[in-house]
Amino acid sequence: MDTRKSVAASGLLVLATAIIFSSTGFSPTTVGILSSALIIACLAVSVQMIYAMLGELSLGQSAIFGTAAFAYAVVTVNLHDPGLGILIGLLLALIMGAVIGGAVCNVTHAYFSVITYAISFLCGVIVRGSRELGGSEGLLGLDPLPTILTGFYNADILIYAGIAFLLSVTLLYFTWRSPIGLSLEAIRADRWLARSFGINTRLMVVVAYVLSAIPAGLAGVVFAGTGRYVGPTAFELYYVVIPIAVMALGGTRSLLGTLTGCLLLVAVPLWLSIGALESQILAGLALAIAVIVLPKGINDALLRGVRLVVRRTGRWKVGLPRRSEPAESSPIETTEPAFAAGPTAPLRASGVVVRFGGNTAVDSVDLQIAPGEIVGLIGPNGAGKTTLVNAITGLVPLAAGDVEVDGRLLTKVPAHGRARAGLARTFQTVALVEVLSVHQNFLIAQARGRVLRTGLRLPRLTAAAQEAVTLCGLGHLLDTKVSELTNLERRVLAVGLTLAANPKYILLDEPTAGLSPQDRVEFVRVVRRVVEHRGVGVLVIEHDVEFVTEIANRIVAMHQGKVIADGVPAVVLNDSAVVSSYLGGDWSRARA
Amino acid sequence: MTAPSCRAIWEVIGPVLELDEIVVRYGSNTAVDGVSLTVDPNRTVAVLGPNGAGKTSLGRACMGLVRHGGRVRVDGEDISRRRPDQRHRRGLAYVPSSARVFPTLTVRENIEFQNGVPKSYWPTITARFPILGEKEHQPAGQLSGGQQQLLSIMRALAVGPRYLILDEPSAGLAPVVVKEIFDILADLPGGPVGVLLLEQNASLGLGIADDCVVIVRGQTRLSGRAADLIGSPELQHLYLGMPGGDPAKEPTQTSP
Amino acid sequence: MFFTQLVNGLIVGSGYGLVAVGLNYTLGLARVFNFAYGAFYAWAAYAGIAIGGALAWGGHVNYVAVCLLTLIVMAVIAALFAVGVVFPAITRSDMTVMVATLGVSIAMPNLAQMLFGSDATSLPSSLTQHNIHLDSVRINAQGLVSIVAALVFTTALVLFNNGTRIGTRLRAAAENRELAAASGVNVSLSHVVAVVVGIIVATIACVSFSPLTVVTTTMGNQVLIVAFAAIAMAGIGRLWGALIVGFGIGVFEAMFVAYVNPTYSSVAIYAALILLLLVRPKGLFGGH
Repeated sequence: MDTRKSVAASGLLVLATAIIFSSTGFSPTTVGILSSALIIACLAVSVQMIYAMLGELSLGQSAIFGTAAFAYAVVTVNLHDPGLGILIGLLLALIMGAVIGGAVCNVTHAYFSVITYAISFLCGVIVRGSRELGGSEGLLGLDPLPTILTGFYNADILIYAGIAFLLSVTLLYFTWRSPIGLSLEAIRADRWLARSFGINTRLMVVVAYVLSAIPAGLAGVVFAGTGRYVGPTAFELYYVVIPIAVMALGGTRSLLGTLTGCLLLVAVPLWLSIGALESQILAGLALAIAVIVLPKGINDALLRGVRLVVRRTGRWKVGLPRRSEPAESSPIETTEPAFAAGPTAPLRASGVVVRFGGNTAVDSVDLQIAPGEIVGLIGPNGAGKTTLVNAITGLVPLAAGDVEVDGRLLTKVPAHGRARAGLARTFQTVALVEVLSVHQNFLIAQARGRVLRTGLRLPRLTAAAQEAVTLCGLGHLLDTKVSELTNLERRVLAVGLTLAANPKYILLDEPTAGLSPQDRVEFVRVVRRVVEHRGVGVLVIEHDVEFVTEIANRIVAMHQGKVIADGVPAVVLNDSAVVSSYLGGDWSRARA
Repeated sequence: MTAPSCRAIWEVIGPVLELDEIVVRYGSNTAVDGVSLTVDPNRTVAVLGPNGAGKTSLGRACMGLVRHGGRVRVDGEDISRRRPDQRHRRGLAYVPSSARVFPTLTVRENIEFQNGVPKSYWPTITARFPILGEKEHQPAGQLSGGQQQLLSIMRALAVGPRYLILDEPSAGLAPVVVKEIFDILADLPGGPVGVLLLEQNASLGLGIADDCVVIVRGQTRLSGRAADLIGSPELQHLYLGMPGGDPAKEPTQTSP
Repeated sequence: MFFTQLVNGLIVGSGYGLVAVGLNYTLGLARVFNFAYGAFYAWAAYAGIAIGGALAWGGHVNYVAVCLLTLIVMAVIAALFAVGVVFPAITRSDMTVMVATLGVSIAMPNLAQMLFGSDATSLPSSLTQHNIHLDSVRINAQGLVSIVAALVFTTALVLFNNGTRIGTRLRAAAENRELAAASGVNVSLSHVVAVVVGIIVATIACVSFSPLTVVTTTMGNQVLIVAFAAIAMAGIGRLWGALIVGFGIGVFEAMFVAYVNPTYSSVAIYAALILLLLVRPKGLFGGH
């Protein structure tokens, strides 16, 4: 389902509104109401960008909005140049976005929301205390935006607001479809997963925030230039919560919903001259009720009602569009060779020590994987196997030791950098971006986190990713949502995704947990195919000793953070220390 | 052979835990597709099957932790619309396959936070399992996997349930520890309890069960007395997890 | 001068600290963020003033009576809120709770302004007029009440949390929802109780401390930020830690006003709080 219907529907709504309101003859009041609604709509788009893509509730939009508004105000009051005011306003909005993004790049959930909230609050406090910025009264008599469009001041105001909104929505649309949007979706799913794909999670949060600052900045500039007044109220909770209420009411991914929400929560109360106090109470209650009763927004509920009445069988999605071309029709991108040659030097972890508090989880471990070798890592629960892999891949800090991959020292390189250097891994609990399709997951994996280069262009599968798809036999499932795959398909997909990034070494953490014996046989076949084809080195953590014997050239046994044996399976599995630590007396008798 | 589907409701006499045409769906994925079975008090029913068969979903449905179609009845009373804590009060107890204890609560708190634990319970179990007594005031998260499993089972039995649901008691534990746990399961302390044992490892399950049901992809494929099913070729075909067993290979009984 | 400021700081800090303890209890137990927490604090103040006005016979108000009645009224409102908003929201998701309580947090202060007007007033208490003298230091009686209340009620809450079966059941429900439910704990009820208890603690903090300040509609927002920053530093669920950090913030503020610069104190405080939120030195008291 494409967005043409939704754009058309939105256009119709705007037109209808314009016609209805123009019956009162475009009076300043009407124009003021409509432009207020559109300004809030821009803020709602700004909040949506963070929420729809990062999954976090940002309360900092008013800080950006207020900053842009005040920048415009200061410039026009002192220099009387509205054009420059717009520019500086937007610039400062972007900077503020970067600052807030940088502040919250590491945090999630409640912390994210409270910190952004506190920053908005702090801005209000600063402005109130500053005479140059108008103190508690604010700045008056700002120069209006240049009346260059229609020559009619009132019409111009509306057009400016409309342009701001259209630009905001276009930006949201293109960002969401782009590799940037996809990698933000991966961050939203699981930050460690995103880093293992090579995504620089902190940088991407800042990028998302800077992008969301554009609609908020536009809103601020238009607000200042049309209202011709700014005050500390620009930083108030109102400009934070109303956009969120609009978003909640309209549905987080619905353009039409945003417009409907703004009409209901902003335009109608203003038109009916409902006081500021009452309309805020209304908005607050509407927000609380909306999220509880109508989690997908009022539009979705209305549409379902309409569908029931009209009895259409088609799917009426007025949300954001599908994010990539259908898998079958995508041509191959030829910016990289089909697949890079395998590694020439081993993966070497030397003297790795990992500590959590007072507990030494990994105690001076040396581990080596040669190109084309499959190494099994066994040991009882708590032996430190997963922690070792986490330390090698950089998700957990090294207390001591070094990590070297294909001759390159990676000890000081952060996790996403190690992924880009050719170190790929899967997770014990299969980590994939559930809400996206197999194809889209491959698009994320193949990018290796380098999404800023492609910008907002639509992505296509590279040759390497295409080959990964084939190697894993997932070609027929490309458009299936990951959440609908079977257990084996998910496990195989996890391996396939590591391949799409042209890795040199792949670390698999308990890849067959929960698979039936037949599935395990299939899995072994896939892994062997991968190793033969690409010449990568593979490490497999496993509990099932039998499976590991099948697949590995060499076995390393760990116990209580140390390596206790390292050699060919037959030798290691009969090593008495290994047997007693993990396998129990019965096992060696059964295998003899 | 107990064929639960043959038993009409009015033929049921006396206390029993009944699962009647249980259906569990996650979105478009049907995890349990109309499974029925009964558990008599003081008997153990093992539900076997490969992973992804729906055993865990069945257990969760029985306890009310997931929405399900079909009916769950305890001693004739339909509890299908009841919350998990209400089902607990009706006599069901549950030991999950992971996250089995409350890590920051002490060992003793892990048992006594429940309402209705007799004062004599703690001394009784610490007499039989001194390790629990030694760690009485330690946070349960510091216990080993096997000790946590033991603690969880003791927690479930503390209020004298009528039926105990055990989800994959062997999961996440080393083979040596699994054997110890199953020895305990064969000889549970406290009064008579009907046990619903959900287990992937068939040899372990059959070892302590009276009756057995095998489900694959959410549907019942085999059922009968455990003794009858040990060594059955059909069961072997569904992969038992016997040491050295792999259905893809020819069984080699003798070495060349 | 120093000791006077120290005492002032401790008095202000007691207000911050107890408020943080209440929110930390809710956060630690229910693992849901009640954005309306600050709004409830402000409402407690307004309710106290209204009740004080209603009880005034010939100009004399019984402070204890006002406190008790306010507590009862706020407990009822909190219960309605917990059952009507928090409970249905929890069944959806954590984000839903945050957003729903955010909505309430903007509706409540405006409602207060509508009902009570925006004239700045104070909770009536005769204790604000009395001072106790220790050596050369003058301690305000009301301030002493605030400090004592903070210490007493934090102790009570900690005892309830760790020493009673109900407290343990609530902790279990917070730690592992499913296992708790399967062991007979009504998890939804637990969350409701955690929210209500938190608000009751906020009310106690309010009636103890706010007679010393002027009540405004924005005090709720300020309270929320301070509380969260204190929790960020102390660690979620660490009740004593939150109280101590609250005292610390109060002392910092008093010292800043006295020795550095009174006009920029607000800016400095909030900047410092944001820094706390960013840096989150949890290692100080442990925490999750």
